[in-house]
Amino acid sequence: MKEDPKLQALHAGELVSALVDGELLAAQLAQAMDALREDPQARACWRDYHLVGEVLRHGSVAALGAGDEAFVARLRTRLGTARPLPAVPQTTRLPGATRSSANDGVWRWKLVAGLCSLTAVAVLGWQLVVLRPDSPAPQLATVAPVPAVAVDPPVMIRDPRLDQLIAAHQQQGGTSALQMPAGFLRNATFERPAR
Amino acid sequence: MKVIALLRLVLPLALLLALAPAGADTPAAVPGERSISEWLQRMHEASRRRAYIGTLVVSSGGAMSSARVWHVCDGRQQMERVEALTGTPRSTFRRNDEVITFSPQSRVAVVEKRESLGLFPQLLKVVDAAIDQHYGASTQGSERVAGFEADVVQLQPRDGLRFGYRIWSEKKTGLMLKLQTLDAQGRVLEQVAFSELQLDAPVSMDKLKRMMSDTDGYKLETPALVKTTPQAEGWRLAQEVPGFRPMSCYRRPAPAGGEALQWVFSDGLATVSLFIEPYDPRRHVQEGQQAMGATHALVQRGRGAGAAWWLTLVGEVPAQTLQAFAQGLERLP
Repeated sequence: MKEDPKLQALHAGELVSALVDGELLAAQLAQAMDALREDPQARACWRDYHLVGEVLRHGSVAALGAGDEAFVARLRTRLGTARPLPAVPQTTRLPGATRSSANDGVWRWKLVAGLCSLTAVAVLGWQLVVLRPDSPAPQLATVAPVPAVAVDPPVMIRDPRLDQLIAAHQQQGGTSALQMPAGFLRNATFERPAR
Repeated sequence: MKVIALLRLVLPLALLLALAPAGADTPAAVPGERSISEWLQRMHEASRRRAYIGTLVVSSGGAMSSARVWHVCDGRQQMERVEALTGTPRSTFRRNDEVITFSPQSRVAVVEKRESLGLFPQLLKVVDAAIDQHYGASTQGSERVAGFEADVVQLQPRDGLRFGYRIWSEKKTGLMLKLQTLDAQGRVLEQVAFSELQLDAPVSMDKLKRMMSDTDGYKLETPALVKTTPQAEGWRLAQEVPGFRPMSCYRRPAPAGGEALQWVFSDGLATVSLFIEPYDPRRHVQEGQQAMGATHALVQRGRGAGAAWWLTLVGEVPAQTLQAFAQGLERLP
């Protein structure tokens, strides 16, 4: 069966991303090499991932070569157009009016997934802003498509002591009318992911 | 998705159900006319009167957990067994407000008395007015969850200090089958739902009791909590946060030594804990925020000249609500 060229391109992009992250095993590695050899788009992808990786690590675009200026220009344009996030239409809400959740339905998830590729560039820009010079440099290709809440991001704490207090809150603080039908079960079931 | 069930509180309805042939689909009587407290009461009654076995799935902040749940009651007592299916193996047993959590790997069993669990249905009466004042309820038709038809009820906050909820309540019994916490844009922050449910399942209370008391080979631990009052500890909330009332206050061991004060507030649906510790520059370094699913946390040094305390606020509320609490807190002279 011949693969849809669009799908193929998407696939190649994923392969290259995984390659940059060093996640590929032998068979896929060969596939990725083929893609890089044959597909100019995959090669561009490879260059871009490394470029963004460089920028994230060194926090500067000073060292970029002439051929990379086009990329930077594209990044700027897309940063300009990607914000505010086009995904969520802001409608005025009447008091008492209700609607179903924006991400409740499966098709909406798909829509969001599609938009994530658009907003990935915005997210990268956001990372540039918040990354401290001394923090370890993340690899570009592992950047998760988080919702682009780009405005003034607060410091997000990762602290085991805080986790313990959150657990204490959930155990003792369940003075809610929802605690009895659901809250207790929820807290007994849910384990906060270890960091 | 599976559902939780409850018996109707409303007498005429219960009668109607009793007279109807078993399994007959008596349509829920005009669910649109129920108030929030009626909905909550109904859901609460369902868990007090029905036995069930089911699989509960919780997804929050991109993480997902599930557990097998056994629930049984005899009118006087409620018992529950929750076996975590994901993460660290642990089983939690509850008899009314007594809770034991067994961790088979560390051979530790934590024994607690959770007063909040014994508060119903009195709590509902206390917070009743507050809930109606700060949330509006509307029904949104019905959907099927875990094989059961459920009424969908949306609880819409009337201001930006709390999140909204959508509740799937089993049509016949009222049992809560699914619960979503929603932000101001209507996005789902957290979701709790039965993926599979067996209502009126044969659950043996005696067996659960035996399992709960079988602590052989386990080291028993009890969290050292001391009941106190904010006044006695020298604190007050100079500026109240609309809708939130003080519920309880404890002194407890702080995570890295010393003691912390835990002062708990609730608006009936959401809960906020204020943890206050003496400021220690060696341990208390990083101020900031955390958000995971519906749970938000705010960590900061006390404001004001020479403030010598460290604040950690945690709640299923927007970050701005935590900020309002932080600003309103005052040391008594």
